[in-house]
Amino acid sequence: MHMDNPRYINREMSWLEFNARVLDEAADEGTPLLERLKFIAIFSSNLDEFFMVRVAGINKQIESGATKFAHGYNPKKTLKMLDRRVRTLVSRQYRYLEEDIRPALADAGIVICAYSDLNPSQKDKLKKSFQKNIFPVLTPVAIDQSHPFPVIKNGAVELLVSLEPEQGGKERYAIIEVPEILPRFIPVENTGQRVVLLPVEALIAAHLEMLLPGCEIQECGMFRITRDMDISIDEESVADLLSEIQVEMQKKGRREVIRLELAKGLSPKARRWLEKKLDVTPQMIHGINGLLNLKRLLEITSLPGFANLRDQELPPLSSTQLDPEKSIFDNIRNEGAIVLHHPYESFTPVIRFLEEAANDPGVLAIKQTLYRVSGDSPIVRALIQAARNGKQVTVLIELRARFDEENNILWARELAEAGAHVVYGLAGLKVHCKALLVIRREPDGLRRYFHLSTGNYNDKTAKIYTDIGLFGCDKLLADDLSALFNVITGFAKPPAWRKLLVAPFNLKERLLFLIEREVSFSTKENPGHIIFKINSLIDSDIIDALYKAAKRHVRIDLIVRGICGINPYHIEKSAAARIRVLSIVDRFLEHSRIYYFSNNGTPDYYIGSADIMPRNLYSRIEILFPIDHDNIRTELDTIMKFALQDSRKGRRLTGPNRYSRTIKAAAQEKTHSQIRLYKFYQQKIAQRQEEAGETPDITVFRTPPSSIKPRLGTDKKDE
Amino acid sequence: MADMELMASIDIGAHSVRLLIAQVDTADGSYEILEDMEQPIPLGANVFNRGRISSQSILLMCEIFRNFRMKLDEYGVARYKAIATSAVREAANADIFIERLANASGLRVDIFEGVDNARLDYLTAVNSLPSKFGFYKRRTLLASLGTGACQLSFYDKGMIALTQTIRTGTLRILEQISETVSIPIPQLISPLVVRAFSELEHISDDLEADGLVMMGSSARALATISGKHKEETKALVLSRQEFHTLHAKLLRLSPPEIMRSYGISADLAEALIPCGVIARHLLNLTGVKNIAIPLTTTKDALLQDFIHDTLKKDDYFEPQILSLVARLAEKYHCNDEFSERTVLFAEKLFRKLEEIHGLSKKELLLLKIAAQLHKAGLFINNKSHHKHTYYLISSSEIAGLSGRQLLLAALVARYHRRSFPKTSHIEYMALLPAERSVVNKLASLLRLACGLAAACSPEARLGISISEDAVLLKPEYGTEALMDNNFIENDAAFFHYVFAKKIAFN
Repeated sequence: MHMDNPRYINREMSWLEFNARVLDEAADEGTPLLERLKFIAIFSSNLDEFFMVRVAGINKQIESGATKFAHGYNPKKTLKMLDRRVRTLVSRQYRYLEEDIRPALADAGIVICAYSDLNPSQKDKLKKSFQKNIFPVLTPVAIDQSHPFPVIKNGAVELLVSLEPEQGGKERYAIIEVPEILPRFIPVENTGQRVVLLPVEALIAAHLEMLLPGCEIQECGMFRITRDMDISIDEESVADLLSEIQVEMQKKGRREVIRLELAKGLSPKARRWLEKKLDVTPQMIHGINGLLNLKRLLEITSLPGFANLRDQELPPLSSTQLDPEKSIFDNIRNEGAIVLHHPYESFTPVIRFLEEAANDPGVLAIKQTLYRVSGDSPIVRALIQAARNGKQVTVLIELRARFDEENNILWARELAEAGAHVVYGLAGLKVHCKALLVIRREPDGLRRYFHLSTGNYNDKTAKIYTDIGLFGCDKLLADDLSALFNVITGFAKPPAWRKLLVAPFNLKERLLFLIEREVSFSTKENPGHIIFKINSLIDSDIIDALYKAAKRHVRIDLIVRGICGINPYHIEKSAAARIRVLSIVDRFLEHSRIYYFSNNGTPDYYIGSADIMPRNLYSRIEILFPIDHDNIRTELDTIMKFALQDSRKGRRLTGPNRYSRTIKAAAQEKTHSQIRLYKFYQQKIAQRQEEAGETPDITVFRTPPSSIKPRLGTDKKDE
Repeated sequence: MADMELMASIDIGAHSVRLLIAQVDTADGSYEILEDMEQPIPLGANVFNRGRISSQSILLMCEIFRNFRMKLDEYGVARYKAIATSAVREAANADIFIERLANASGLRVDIFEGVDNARLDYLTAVNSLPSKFGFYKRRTLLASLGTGACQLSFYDKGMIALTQTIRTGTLRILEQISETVSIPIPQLISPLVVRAFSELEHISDDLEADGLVMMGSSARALATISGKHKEETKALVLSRQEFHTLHAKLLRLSPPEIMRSYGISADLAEALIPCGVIARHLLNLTGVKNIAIPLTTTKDALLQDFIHDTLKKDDYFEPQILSLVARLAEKYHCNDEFSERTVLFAEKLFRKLEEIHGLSKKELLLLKIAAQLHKAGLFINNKSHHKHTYYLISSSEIAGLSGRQLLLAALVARYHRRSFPKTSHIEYMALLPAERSVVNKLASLLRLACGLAAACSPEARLGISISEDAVLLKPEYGTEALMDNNFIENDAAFFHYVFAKKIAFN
């Protein structure tokens, strides 16, 4: 791989390698078929986002004439490398799908067929369904001299239909958008054991004469465009961020095209016409040998039945630290600190915490940051309820949470209408930290309870993202959190933080200090140890500090799921050997961030929302919070140990931006960290039940036990 | 179950405005801070430069106050004290500013006078100085250096001896020179400092001290950059030599360099140079061997003072006020045995007659001050000496007493003889009705106390009881003159006029 600066791996190339690891999950024969299909879809969804944001960003840099960007990489060269790698990966994706997964799925009873594969009765049945359900929502647009080229929606599958030329030989085309509200796959047959599905665009293509009556159809092909969706707003100069983002969202249909995916089958003439109309360069065109928009394969993964084609379910477990008979507040007060590890442990207590707070007469105020919430969020419902119950509710909604902008605008309005104090973030800083603070009047005075997390307040993603949440009522942390909310609501300037590490104020500086402190203690005989379990590592100052630490004998274990800019292969071998990099891509998205420093025998643990990327350290409000309780530290040790031992889904960095592959690692199942962790929490429950004597031996009395003597003359009614 | 109450203090300074919300245990006054918020706002720069608070600052402050109000409501805080210090005090539009804040937030702000600061400085000193500093054993100068004023208080063995507000501060001094040079240099500041503090030498010929205590944000910044600052210490003590080394280091750095090197704000970095020059001047003036810098802030002391006041505890500063009053009495030659006896009788009457006057300990203090100083006017002239007493007291500066309190004490002393308060008395009529009532009640007690003091021997014992239409005096010992000459007849008339009760003998 070409490297402009071997000290750091290029961020975009590193991200692509992460997506390659996602794609490997689709190739892993030890993974059930529908899960493999899911990873095909995730790969596509990730890639779409990559084009919409990252590639769009590089294009803008090239347009602005920049010759260098982060870490000294040249944008043009980078774009070229990315393009090459994307094409390789996409062709690999279609190979996995078409050659392995689709045939295997068909054998297992899930068939994605072509229209030509259908028998006349099936076609007839589908025609009726088409007329009733699909035809009314389609809007074919014919393009000729009097009808301009229409606005093409970002990410939708489109049909390009070539019609008989007008008099004079001028080409005529029509475009039919496949609306996203339609199911992507139409069931042709479903017996429970066998499902036959037809892509909706194939059904539409088979009924073009109904859509374009009186036109002679010459050919029909599919295409899909991706637009630049990297919204940047000059926040300093806008008076109302909410309206500004709404305006930007309305503009999204007209943003620049950065990728054109063309399904095989269109004539060169039609292709040229389309390319000209869309104003795309050859580099932007991706020929696709198969279905477009594979992210919608997710619909197939959620088909009912076919349990044998899915991962064994791992339903969220209840926490052993929480007594369900008591209020969450009592639980927190009694335990001091309670940790929840999702999705192994249920997210329900977080919702319960808010619901209890909303209805507790002692609760005066609730403050929360919301970054991404689910569509019908119980979290937001509880906040609305709290506001209606007269609590002082302050919610910081990050309107700029990418791709969730519209959802967030909706909730912001509802909350404000209910009487909550809604704040839309700080100019120039995205609020990414996950914090919830409840102020409650109790008999012995006011007490502040909090929940801090590595992940969003989103009940849906809490079932698939691994995140760690901490409930507590520690005074110093509560002080810091109060101050943090004062900062993000614009009420006060940042104070001197007592326990929290807060970006962009002291987080990076403290991390550098903690690394440096490790260096200062470390000797050959008594080496220091740093473990980061994070999603991304790209900040050059931190990477440099880690290189320095490795050279001073500090052992460095990096469990980095996604982008990882460190390249130990450019430093001397002895130091490089001390840096181990591991990436876990598995059924649950690794999302929790843990920072461990051995500190010469008295270790420090931090968890939180921050990754080690410039955007996290400089342009977002992020927090890392210390973990002081021994039982929680032990749990974090287990999480990190299992991850580091994982050879089933853990890929090791083996060269510059090169990772080992696990598609043939089924024999390493016993090291599978996510499964081990689930079992670990199951065992905790069993142990707790055993301690509480909740599983007594079952004894069946065949005769009345001696302790029970029937009382003579007792009327049954009195019993 | 602990009885907890929420209280808040708001402190509008020259650079920033601060809000503290605390949960207070009403049994012992101990408290826990729940919110500590600070917002920067350049009021000082406005006022010391242009004499008034700018419209922009008023709007910004209204916004901050609305937020503060929201925060107080969030916790359900009902009791608060909001004060504004020198920057607002000196602004030509202070009244408008305060009214705008009240309209925006419903929060009422009081202007804090320089002498009020002496209370907080004392509280800060006793709470933070280590015992080895010897505050109660030697002579100490407390210097509270603000942006616009410097409050000086000399303490002899823990009792206040002299207090003076010097109209110079870290920002005001920079504003004085900023028009001519862009970077303030110590050589330019030094003469200004010497001139500002020269008035001290006219007030007292004994400016020597054993210890200097520097307070204020710039002094705390000095402590921060000294490198001796530790998180758990309440006050930092620097020897003379250590201070000079630190000051020399500071003089070599520009404000931006100070900012970068020590991570302090631009305002504070700029304030450090005048702070250092003033501290050096005070070191030379007093000849002290060491300098202590408490690390707690005014807002902490303000909150403690407010809690103390709200919980109606004995005023911790009252002994200091009485100490200053005794010094005034000495100055005006009214520290005689008669005045002492008057104070005793006045206090006795006040306590025994609480059920008919319904006044609090705060008013008792005013009565004691008036009783101690009621003859001060004789220092000027025997003729109409009660009027001289009035202006001598009202023109004095007694740390711990507001101007309003001093005025009331002066009027009480004025009415210890001759005419009752009349509508033609401008100073009296300028009072609020409730204040007039206080003056009447206290003056009637003082007049009676004067009569009793004149009639009774120092060892006199007197029983006092209340009946339906009279206050009964029961002479027990040393009150012969009272019985024989009916001394107090005239003095009792004012009492009858105010309380509609005769003075009778049992």
